[in-house]
Amino acid sequence: MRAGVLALVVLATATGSALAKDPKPDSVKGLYLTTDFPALQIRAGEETVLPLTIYNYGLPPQRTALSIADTPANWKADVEGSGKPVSAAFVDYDGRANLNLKLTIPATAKPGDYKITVNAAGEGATSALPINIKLAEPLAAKLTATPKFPVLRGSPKSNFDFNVTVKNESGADTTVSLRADLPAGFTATFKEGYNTQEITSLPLKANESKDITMSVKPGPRVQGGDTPVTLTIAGEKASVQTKLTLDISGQPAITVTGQDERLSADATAGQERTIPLIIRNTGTAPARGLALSATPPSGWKVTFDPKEVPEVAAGGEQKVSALITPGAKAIAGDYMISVRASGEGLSESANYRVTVTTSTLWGVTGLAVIGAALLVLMGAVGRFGRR
Amino acid sequence: MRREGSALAGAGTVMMKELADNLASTRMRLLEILIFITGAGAVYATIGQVRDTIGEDPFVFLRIFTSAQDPLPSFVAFLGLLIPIVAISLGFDAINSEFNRKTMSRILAQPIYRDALLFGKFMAGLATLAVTLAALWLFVIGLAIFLLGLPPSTEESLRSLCFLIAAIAYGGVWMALAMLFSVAFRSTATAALASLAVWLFFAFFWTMIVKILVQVISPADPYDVAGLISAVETGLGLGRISPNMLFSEAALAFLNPGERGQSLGILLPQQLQGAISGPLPLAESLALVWPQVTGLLAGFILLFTIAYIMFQRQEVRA
Repeated sequence: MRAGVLALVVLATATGSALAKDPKPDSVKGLYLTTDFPALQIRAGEETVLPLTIYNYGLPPQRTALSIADTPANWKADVEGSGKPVSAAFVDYDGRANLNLKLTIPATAKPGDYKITVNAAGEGATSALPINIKLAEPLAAKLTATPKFPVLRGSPKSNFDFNVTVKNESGADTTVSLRADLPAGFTATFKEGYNTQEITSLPLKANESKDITMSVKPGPRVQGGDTPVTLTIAGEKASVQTKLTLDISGQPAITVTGQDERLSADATAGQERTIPLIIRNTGTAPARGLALSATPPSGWKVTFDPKEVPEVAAGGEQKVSALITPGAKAIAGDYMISVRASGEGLSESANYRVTVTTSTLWGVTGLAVIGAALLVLMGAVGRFGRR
Repeated sequence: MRREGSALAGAGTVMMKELADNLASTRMRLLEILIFITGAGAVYATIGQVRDTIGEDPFVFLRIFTSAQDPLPSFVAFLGLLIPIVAISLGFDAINSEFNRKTMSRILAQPIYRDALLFGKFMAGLATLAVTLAALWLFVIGLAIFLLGLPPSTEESLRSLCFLIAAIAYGGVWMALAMLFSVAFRSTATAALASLAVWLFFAFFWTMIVKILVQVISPADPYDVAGLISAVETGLGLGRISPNMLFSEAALAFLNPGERGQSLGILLPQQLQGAISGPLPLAESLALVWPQVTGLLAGFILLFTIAYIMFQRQEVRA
């Protein structure tokens, strides 16, 4: 019967579920210092906490001194009770004391087998707990970044939101900084998951993974095509780079304007006037096959030199001359002429204001009439002059 | 007997004497009072209306001349009526009164040529008219500055100055006409009545007569656009024989910078296509009514020349 109980105790200790059920105090007597797993493997550079329990079976309540023997050099081993370092515990009759063994192993410690012995010395009873520690190589610091979609497509004005999963595959907590290598003029912002706050760094616990969103806004005057962007996630010991691509769809956009942005000119009725115009491509793809046209008032003549512009490169400009002849009978004043450049899929117009002045021919004629009248008067004075 | 030396020798003396007579005469006083009261009344009546539109119109000063307030006509319309009366009253007795007072022989006994007498008298009349109109012009502008609290801009000043010059030219036509009649008729009453008859004819009856004449010359077919246009143009051409019409058109262009010819004749819709309404520069306004101004200036020179020829051929010793 007794042997059977003992066997049960041994079995329970091995499986670790014996803590829930204490052995009968009648059958076992003495002081016992125990832990769940007296042989374990840990990694250098890590902090390990082992739970310790002191049982007092059938002995009077007593103070039990605690000491640690065989601590390897540079290791730090402390016994803690209720979160504070302790060197003795008081164990009641048939009671127990819960303690922790805190091990701090430097990262420089050599791998191998080590042994630590924790001693509990009561009044007339002692218990020693040897703990076998197999020290393994420290886990290499490692980060991974997995973009959900490495290539995104959009217009030069859209935002490119890359979802990237960052994982800390090392055993240590770390804080990673986020950085993107972008072409000039591009801007990138980082956000975590669905958080709206912008971030520049991200804390990652050991083996934790988080989703971040990198939002890239292309700069102005961007050329169409693939633009590579490198996202660098750098922790204290490791960093990872992931290549992302913005597939920017190019689009030509043109403006028609005058020289020095001037959109007005003077012209004399019936006389040709050359007006310099500039067609500017502010888009991201070349504009092709631009035909120039104007909607002048009737009786006016507007031609262009050249009549067609085969291509304006993105960001480039082309000078064009408009030859405007106001109608011979145009009255003086301001007129609006719409000048239009239209090409493949795009059309842009500018309103040009032409101030028409009339020919001074009639003014000269009027002066001639007055002069003739004065000549008649002078002739009369000469002819009829008398005393 | 041929004249020796300049035709203008002594004209200055005659002009100064005549100017003194004109400016001191009771007739002139009455005319000045009449013209100032009507001018001031017209301006005062319109100023309230103009004050409401300050800020809406960049040419607010010019509106004082042109806007009318019931029951008074505008200042320009007043001047269109009053300038001929002043000019006629200054010129209708220029020569014949000398005959009636039997002073002509006495004047010509002085070392003054006949040419100089007529030139001097005409210039004196014109100077009197110019002084009166300039004074009235300054009075109106001063009144407007006082009542509006705004100074006129350069453009407004130049435009109103052009208007003043047109008004003097308009007065010159009527003065030359009155002087022609004063040479033609020995009776001052006949000359005055003849001048006033011509004025009345052009001021009131000519527009009616033109309508009848147009129907005779180019009968309008309501379905023929070209015919209608030619009828209107004939009417305008005939109407412009009247100096009153020439003056009102010149005043319109000078005092209304937005005028581009739409009120001065026919503008086809094609001509206004693409046009933006806006003020014209002064040079363009001047170009617009240059024919009218030319007509007024040439008209008074020609009328004066006729008067001159008649006077030179007259017997003065009677």
